[in-house]
Amino acid sequence: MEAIFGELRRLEKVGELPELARQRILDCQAELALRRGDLETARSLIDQATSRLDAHPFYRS
Amino acid sequence: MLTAQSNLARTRGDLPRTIDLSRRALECVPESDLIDHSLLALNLGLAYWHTGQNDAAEKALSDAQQTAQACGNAYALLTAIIFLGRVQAVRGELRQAAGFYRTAVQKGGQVPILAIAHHDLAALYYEWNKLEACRVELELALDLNRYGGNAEIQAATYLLQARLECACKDSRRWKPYSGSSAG
Repeated sequence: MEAIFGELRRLEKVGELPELARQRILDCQAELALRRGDLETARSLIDQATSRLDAHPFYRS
Repeated sequence: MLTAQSNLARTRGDLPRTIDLSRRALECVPESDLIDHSLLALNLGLAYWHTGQNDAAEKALSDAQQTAQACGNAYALLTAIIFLGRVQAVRGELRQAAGFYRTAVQKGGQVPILAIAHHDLAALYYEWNKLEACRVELELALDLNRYGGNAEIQAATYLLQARLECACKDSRRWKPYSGSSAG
């Protein structure tokens, strides 16, 4: 899991990701935090999300 | 000129302008010019899809599919098929969506745009709890994306990998309910 998010951080640093894709990384981290019962981390991540966030895997606009 | 402006507008992410220019250009392009027609219809379909206009996207993408097939424009053909799959997926027609993705994969070989088809197939397998098939499709998506280098597709693939890894851990922890404690 660390390796996956390491790659995602690298992509973010390179600066090639649109804002919505960056938001989806936060959304995924929040979802995984909820799955492991880490409510504090999930709340912190959700607080950073925008109202435009769309987690549908097939949809981006 | 309108065709080039339509391409430029889509590259810049200006979707309303892409729709406007593509529609106008499609009215002007000669019927015999299938290459331009297929690219304009594709631009239009993608712009509609990105703005959530699914029915209009389906119509334009079907037009792109037919004209691209007729003139042998492989890029437009595969892209149209993949996004027709996404139109179905967004509607919840997952089996139809899988059919489009598989058709694209069968037609395409080692083409970078097919990374999207493999990613979307992985998402469907994830929905259906076919986790091993999901993993295989994600690896294929990452392999193909190495040639195309699209960061957004790469990020989407990693995110699904993270969810898959988490789901695999959950399924190992899960124990079937035996009912032995009841009564």
